[in-house]
Amino acid sequence: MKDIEVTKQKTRIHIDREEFESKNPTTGKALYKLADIPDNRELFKSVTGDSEDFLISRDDHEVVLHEDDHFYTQKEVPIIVNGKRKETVQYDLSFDELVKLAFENPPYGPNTLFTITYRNGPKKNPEGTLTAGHSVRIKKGMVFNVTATDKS
Amino acid sequence: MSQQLINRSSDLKRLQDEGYEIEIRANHLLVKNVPYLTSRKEVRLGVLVSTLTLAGDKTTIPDDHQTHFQGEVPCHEDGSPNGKILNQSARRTLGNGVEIDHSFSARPKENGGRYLDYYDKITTYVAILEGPAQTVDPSATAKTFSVIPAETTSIFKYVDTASSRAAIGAVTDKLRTGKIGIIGLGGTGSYILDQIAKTPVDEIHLFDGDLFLQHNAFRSPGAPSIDTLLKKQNKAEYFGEIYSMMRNGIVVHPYEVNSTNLDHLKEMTFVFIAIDNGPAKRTIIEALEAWNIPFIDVGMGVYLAEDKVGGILRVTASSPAMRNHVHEKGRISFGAAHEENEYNRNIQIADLNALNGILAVIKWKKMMGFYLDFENEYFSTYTIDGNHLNNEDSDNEI
Repeated sequence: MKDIEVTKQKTRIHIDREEFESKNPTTGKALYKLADIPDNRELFKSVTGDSEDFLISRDDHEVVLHEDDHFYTQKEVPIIVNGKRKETVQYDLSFDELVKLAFENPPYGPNTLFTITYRNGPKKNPEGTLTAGHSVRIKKGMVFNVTATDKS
Repeated sequence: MSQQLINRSSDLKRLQDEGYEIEIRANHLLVKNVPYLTSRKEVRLGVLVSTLTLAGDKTTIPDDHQTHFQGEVPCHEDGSPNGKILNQSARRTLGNGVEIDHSFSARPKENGGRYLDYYDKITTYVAILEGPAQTVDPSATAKTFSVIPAETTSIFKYVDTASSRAAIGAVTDKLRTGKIGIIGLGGTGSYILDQIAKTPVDEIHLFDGDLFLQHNAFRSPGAPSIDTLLKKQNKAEYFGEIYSMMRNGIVVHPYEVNSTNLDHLKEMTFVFIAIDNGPAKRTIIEALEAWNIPFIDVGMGVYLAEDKVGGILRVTASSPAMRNHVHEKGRISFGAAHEENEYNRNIQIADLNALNGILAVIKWKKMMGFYLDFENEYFSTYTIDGNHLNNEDSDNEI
């Protein structure tokens, strides 16, 4: 009879929008190591609502994780919309938000419908087209195109 | 009659597909423009004539190893007559304008002195005649690939040898699908026509109220002259004239489709929509949906980012089996032209027009069962900056 190994509980978290599995609880140091964060960067935990995001120090203090916690070293991520570099702090962007990112004054008539295509997305939505009323999860370097595709 | 016999007889078909200029006349097989060498060591072109043994409506094994020849005495490289094949020389007529000067006899050594089929027979005689001619002119060949006129009842003015050479005639026949409407003959519509014209659809109806002007020349197939542009023809008439040189069944409707003349679309079996006018598009699509007519709508959105061009090409298909995505997912924009602003400049480029049109034609061919289609997408986009095709709205789940 072999001893059955007891595996530590693993929790899914996101660091700079990449998925990681971490032991839970963990330490600040272990989180920096897990995501291979360079010395010149600091890690923050995203906090929803109005409270400030807080700094995770690179030491042995305990960090208790919750499923799908978000951490970041850089709050804003670059994406490309219609060939131009944009920054967003959001984890998701909706159809309407992307139209606004593409056009400062949207060429909107009541009947204009936009085609939105994207690629280089995260595992949840790597590539596709986005329709009105829907959102996509954002990843650094994601490429969007937003046009009315009404010319022939 | 002649072409039908050729199509049904694999040996004759092979001769034609390989470029031999064959004709059936006076119940004989004629091979025209066969190079041979005269006694003066000049290359001349003669006509090889053979009887035809038919079984029902196609050829069978030739019952005669002889052939006839219209021309001078064929000679060897040194200018001496080719006595090996020369049987008799006397001018006579075989009827229906088929005149001959000589008879040849070259009996095969194998197969009991018989030729396997007419391909075997003709290529053997052609080789005997061509050989000496090629010592003088290496480019001399009986494979002239001359234009083969079509039967009077045919869709095309001359035979579609591209499909026959590739042996995809049966698949191509799936595209004999009645009346195709193309609404809008601007950049993308004109490239759709360019492709559809080369398929055996019975009729192609061209709808456009605009004139073909200088800027259109840079966004459509072909190379019109200044004189052509000065005529300022209606687009449907201009393209109708060009493509009627190649095929029958092109019907010109030189007006913009609107609610007053929609009825012309009722008899269509399939419609391509390639116009910018959103409200008109809505009217057309509502009518096509009511009449259970399948359609494809195309459109592009092209922008300038700094000093480079980007954008999306779109192909939206709709058939009685799959309609809702157009409305529920907003897969076609119905915005009016005056809703444009500085962002919505009308950039179009010929290669993008061509690609958008060709993507639409490929989708139509898939819907007709011509191409393999495991995706069954009713909406697809091509995004320039990533060379990226997206397929959506599949009816595989329906």
